[in-house]
Amino acid sequence: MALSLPPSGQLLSLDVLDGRDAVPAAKKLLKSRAGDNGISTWDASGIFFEMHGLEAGEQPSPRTLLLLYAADVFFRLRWEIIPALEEGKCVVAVPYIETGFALGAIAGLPGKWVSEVFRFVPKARESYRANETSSAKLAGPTDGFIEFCSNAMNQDLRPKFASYFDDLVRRGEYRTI
Amino acid sequence: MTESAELLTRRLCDQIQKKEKDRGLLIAFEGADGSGKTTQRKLFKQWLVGEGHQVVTTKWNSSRLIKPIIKARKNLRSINQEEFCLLHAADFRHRLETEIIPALIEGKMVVADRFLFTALARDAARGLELDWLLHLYSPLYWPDIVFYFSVSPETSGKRIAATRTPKYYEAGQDVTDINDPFESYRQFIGRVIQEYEALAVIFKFITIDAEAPIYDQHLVIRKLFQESRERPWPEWNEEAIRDWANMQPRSREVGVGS
Repeated sequence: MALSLPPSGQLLSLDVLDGRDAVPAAKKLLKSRAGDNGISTWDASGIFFEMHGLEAGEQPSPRTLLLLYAADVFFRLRWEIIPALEEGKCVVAVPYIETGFALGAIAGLPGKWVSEVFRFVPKARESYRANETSSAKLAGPTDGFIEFCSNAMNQDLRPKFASYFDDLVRRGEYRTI
Repeated sequence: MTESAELLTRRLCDQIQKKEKDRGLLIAFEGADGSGKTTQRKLFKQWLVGEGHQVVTTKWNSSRLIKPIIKARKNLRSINQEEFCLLHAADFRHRLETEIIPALIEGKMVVADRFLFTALARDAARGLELDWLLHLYSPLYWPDIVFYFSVSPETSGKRIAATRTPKYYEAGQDVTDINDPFESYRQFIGRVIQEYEALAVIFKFITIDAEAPIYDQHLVIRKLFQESRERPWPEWNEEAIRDWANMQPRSREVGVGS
């Protein structure tokens, strides 16, 4: 039941460790591409921003975070990514599903379950990670998904995400920009 | 010394099993809107409390963390079937982890006003694949008893129409494309009930005739509940306990209530 992408346009995925780097890294990736382009960033749906503002007194678990992340990815596909591809644009999804898979692996969730959650997500044509040097201080929870998860799980998860992405680069599934 | 997640899982499962019929039970009330299940759930809870049980109620789409997010999007009519489903699965997961499993471990009775089957019936009626839905909701703590309030689409429609206009998603207008909420509801609830009837067979629900007088239904529920108390703890719930135990900070002591 993966959503089908239009034949026009190109979808590129990009993962970053610091949410504040998302747009600059996407712009860097798009620099060499001619024609119209677009960027789809985390939390376009506003789910996480709104949740952060609630005083619920409880933190979501990794499973709950992944379900919410999937809802946000679906929203982005429906409202941003697919319409831009239909217009023939090159779209950078920053982040895309590998960030979700990374959280699953870090939290020890079964890979099969995570794959099923993202069953609807079409594959990007090319996948990249940004070559960043983590700043000493973790950005705020609404700056990026990794920051949001770090806050919910009460630990800086950047080194674990970095190690997951490094592994993808080593296996040749990712390119570094 | 801290306890590993595996040891914690083993200990909790052993303790729940040892309590046999005195353990906390998870009892789900399922059925279409207007089937009267909330009325019955309230009567049943009152009766359980009178019998000396500690009772926790959990309602569909009610977590403090996710309900406001769903509500805002429903008001804007901005979510589609998949987003609707994923957000409800997140709400359910959060309640399972923070309300339902902890209460069961403490030996309390948990009465669920709608459970997983609400999602299965509604989302399948919206055209989503059942096996994807089951994956999203796993690992699941399966209810000990599911009371299914069987009602015809006509009765459901009449009961709802007598009190209010069905809301956009309740009427299934996101999938029927029908402007009239009453007509959309009539068509959509027919599909939902069809899904429920199939689930009732697959998952062995206890079907209650929801068109019978209210107090008669209540007496039947009491009787069926007492007969069902002897059922052994379903061991497939161990997976949900393990998943929950994995999330617990290792220094925390978790015990089964008396």
